[in-house]
Amino acid sequence: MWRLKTFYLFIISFILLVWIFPWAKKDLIAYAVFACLTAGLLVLSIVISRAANDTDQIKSNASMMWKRLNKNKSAMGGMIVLIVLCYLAILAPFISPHDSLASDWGALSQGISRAHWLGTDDMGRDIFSRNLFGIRVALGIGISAVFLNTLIGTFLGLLAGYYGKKTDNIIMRLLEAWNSIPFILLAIAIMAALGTGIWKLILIVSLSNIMAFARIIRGSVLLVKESDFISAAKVIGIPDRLIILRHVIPNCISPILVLASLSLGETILVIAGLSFLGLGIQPPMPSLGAMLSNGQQYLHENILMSVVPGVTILLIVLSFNLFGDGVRDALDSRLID
Amino acid sequence: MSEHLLDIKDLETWFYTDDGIVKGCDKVSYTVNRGETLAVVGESGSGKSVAAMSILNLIPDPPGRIVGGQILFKGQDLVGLCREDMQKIRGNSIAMIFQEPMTSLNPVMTAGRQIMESILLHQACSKKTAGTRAVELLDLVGIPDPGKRVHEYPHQMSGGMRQRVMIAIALACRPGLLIADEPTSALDVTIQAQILRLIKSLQQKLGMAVIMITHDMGVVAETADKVAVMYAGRIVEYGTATEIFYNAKHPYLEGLKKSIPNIDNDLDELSVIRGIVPDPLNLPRGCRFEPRCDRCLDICREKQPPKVWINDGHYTCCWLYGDHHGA
Repeated sequence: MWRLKTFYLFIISFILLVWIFPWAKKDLIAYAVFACLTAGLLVLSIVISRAANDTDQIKSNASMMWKRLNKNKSAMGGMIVLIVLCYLAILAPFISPHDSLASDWGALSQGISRAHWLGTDDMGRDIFSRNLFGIRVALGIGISAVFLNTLIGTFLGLLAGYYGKKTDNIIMRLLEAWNSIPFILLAIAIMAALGTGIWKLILIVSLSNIMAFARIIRGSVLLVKESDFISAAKVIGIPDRLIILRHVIPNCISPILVLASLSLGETILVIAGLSFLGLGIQPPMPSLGAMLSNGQQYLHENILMSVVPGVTILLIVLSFNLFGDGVRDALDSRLID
Repeated sequence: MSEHLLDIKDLETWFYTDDGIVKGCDKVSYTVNRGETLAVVGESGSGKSVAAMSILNLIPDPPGRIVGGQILFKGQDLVGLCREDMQKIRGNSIAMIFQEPMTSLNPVMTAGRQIMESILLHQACSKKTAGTRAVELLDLVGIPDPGKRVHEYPHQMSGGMRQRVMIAIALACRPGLLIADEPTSALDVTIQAQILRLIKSLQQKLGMAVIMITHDMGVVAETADKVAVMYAGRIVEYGTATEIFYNAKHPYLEGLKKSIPNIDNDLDELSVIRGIVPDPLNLPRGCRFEPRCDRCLDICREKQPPKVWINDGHYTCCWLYGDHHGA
């Protein structure tokens, strides 16, 4: 039993920690976070190796899931890249050889050198350091926005799909109305009214994508709702909220996970786009999107300025998609051989 | 009054469709006593499942609604009962088994957890006791190695085993009444016999009543104490199994019995009942079987036949019987 609980505890603390990163200013906090994470990973690996040893016993869901995930090479690859990226993000203050905000006026727009590992940008700032902090911001904001988005979208989709009729109509029509407002316009309006800020950015980005979630969840809920096992559950006398919680959600989990992992990449790109418009993360705070858009002006002078953040975004998005796909396959008990 | 476990009186369940009202159940009445098996027989669309779903108030609304009649279970009327009270009865005192064992189990929950769900919901006990109960139940329904099987998912089991799990879930709270909606239709014949025998032996062990909904006369012969034959939303004949098999009155039943192939008679062609079931939106004015009946009278086209009691506990709805000709 405690095995399962450590697993969930680890996942929750992981989400929380990633969430806190962008605001963890002092090195001490970052170090503590790093220590916790490493300890958690160690405990997990010990638990899993122990679980793998006693094969006679019935395997718990978590260890089964881990086993299935382990078989999936691309998902493991994604996970390793993701873990490395997370570590880079956490350890950014330690690893970065230079201050991400400080300019080296003696080395403007330079290539790879011993002092600046990945060169400097047009203002003489170290690209490697800025990239590390950029990962931090992207992961922190991206994950929290997707988390919020998934939560709200799934909730609305479940309500609409399960209760149908009037509830469905009201929720879906409201969402359609919401979706008909152009996203960029909405972002500009909200930012103009409330001012810029990381929390507002998270809120806007997460609200922009609700419709996709709600609609897809509603579709799969409609499908699951008609299955015989839902009527069987009703015959047993299980109340609605438990039916939704135990029977509907687990059967809809794969589209939720796939959508979440896909929209994480999208969200990071949207944040980059908003930064490009000057609505996202405000300079001089480093963000991958802003770095990329800035770099495109200097493609001829210093290609590293756009390649480094571009490749980083690619890595984040790709690893999340691969990992998300793998988790979905591992979670789906129907795919057990 | 109190001797009947379930007493359905003039149940009317109607479906309000875009094309008009479909009377899924039209003045259906039957009773089930404790420990007894009632078989409800009829072809597809005759309303046998609708009547059973009405008992548990599971008719999808809209379009369906119970518009009249009473369903007395232990003296309590189930029609118009509020949701909470209904949920206490569902699974606890009345349980149901579905036709499709392949889809009636949640694919992402283990068999054990699905059984435990019902126990935990209706009985105050710890998770541990519920777990041991689940293993006992799987053992009771004849699943080998129940301690291991509780941790398996439905797709790891065969059709017969899933149906056994369904029965285990239904029996989890020792219900007084079990409704089996074509429990064997999706299974092959050997498994069918096993499941029927299982239901029968469990019925004797636990003393519960069973409503067996089926279109298979073989199943009826094997299990039933009483039989209700339904046609186009109405009960056309009702009586003990022996009466129905050896002393059937209604022409529909005669036709049905003629259509059962007999291994001793070497016939070139099977006899069938001519015609098709009438359109439920456009039922004949008189007897509903009249367009297909070989022995219909003039009055059959005009008026619906009343119940004619052949003897105590056996009635048929046909103008051919009784002494009211010309009435």
